[in-house]
Amino acid sequence: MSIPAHHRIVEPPPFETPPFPPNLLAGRVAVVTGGGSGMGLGMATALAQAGAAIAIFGRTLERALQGAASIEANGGRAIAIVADVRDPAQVAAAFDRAETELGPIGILANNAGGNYPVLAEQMSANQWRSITRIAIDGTFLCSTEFARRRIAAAVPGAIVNNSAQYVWSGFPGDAHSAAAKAAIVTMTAALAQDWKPQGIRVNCVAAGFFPHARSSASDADQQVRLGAMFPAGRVGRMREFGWVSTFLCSDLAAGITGEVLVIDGADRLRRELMSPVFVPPRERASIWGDVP
Amino acid sequence: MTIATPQWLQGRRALVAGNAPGAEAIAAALARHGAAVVRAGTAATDAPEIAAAFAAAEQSADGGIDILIHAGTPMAAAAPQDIGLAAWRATHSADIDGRFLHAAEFTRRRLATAGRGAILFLMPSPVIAPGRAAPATAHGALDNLVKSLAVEWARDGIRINAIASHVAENFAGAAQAEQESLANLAAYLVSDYAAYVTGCVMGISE
Repeated sequence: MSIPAHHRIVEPPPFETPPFPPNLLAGRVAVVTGGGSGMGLGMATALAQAGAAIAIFGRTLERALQGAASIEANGGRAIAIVADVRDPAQVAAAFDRAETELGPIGILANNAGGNYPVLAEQMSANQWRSITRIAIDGTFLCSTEFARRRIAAAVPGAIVNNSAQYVWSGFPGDAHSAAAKAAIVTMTAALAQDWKPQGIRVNCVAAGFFPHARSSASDADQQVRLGAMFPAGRVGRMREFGWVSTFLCSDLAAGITGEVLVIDGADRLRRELMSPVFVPPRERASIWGDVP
Repeated sequence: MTIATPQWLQGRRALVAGNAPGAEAIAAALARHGAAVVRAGTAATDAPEIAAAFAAAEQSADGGIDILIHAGTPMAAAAPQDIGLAAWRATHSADIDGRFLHAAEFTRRRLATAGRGAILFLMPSPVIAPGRAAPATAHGALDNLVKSLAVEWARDGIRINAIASHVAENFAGAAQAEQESLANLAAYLVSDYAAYVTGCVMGISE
């Protein structure tokens, strides 16, 4: 399915003309969990483009190092630290190391997460736990470690959480991630209220489909066909996701806290009065469906 | 805090309608970001009057209006049993009809030139509290209006979003950081940097 020529598809400005000056976050240090690839790297790249020094937390050193190298290749400053965000001791140690190498951490981007299709009745307890604990426990543990340090130093801070546009609906074959990402939205509102007096802001980006090297649709032809599914007529570009996340962490958004910004090209609003015949996920060749 | 940012709205032309007090701060922010800004001070609810306001704005801005801000009309707190039909109708006409008619006129003009556009509503906050029957009702209607129009006009390159906030309702009573963030967020959302954001209804610090 191609997009008719008379449809108007609007792209964001190119990567080389970001919305912020290169010193917007000069002197700031940002932790990005799961920042070695995908959407985390998108956040880390945009934060670095605005002048922040980046500590990438990753479960494997190799991928975190790749992310850091990519940021340095763009002229940014980044280090890679191995940490499993489900373990509070590892989180504390990673914060210690990041602060020793880069200075006090003033920005936290909670992105670490995973997702894959599996029918709920066939989902093992470990599969359920792996996805929900990285997203829910990881976001909680990193946020509280961050906040304790900011409160002890009597300085403000900003957190941005990576949620998803499907949290208000869920979708079949995604019980683990749909539940976990929705928990992040609620946690955003709760932590924002807890820490408003201390000037620690907590916001959330609920993103639609932003393809990257490790996502299911990495080739250009598939992305065009996927783009045709969305009202906006295209998939998301990683730079626009990174920029809006950076906006929320910056002083431009100094009064914004507890909020969810949806960036999905109206993906979640696609519901029609009439739809194709319903096929139970169990009877589908592919649980999440096929690219049109 | 003032930060010198690159101009997000160079070459754009904005009509800022509605009379909520936050509208002035937003108009100033759009101008700072390089947009030509025309203020429509009253919250018109009459279609010919709205069409005339667009025509005048396009003349004054020397080109097609490609950004519409509608700040609405703040609604007073009142016990629902004391509002009465006349006040109820007048309030909703100012806050719902006026916005719909502005958005539709904006889009007809955009379609005529095949130009992209962005609409932003400043809306009542979603907070349910005593005395808020009218603003909460308006919030619900506008929330679905924004989401419906976002889908209807997506392939025309016309986006629509809303900031639903106490800062929009009571600008003078908000903290300075909240006031500045309202203006910054508004400018960002109508810029091409937010090209993939449509149908989003968010607050400032609700």
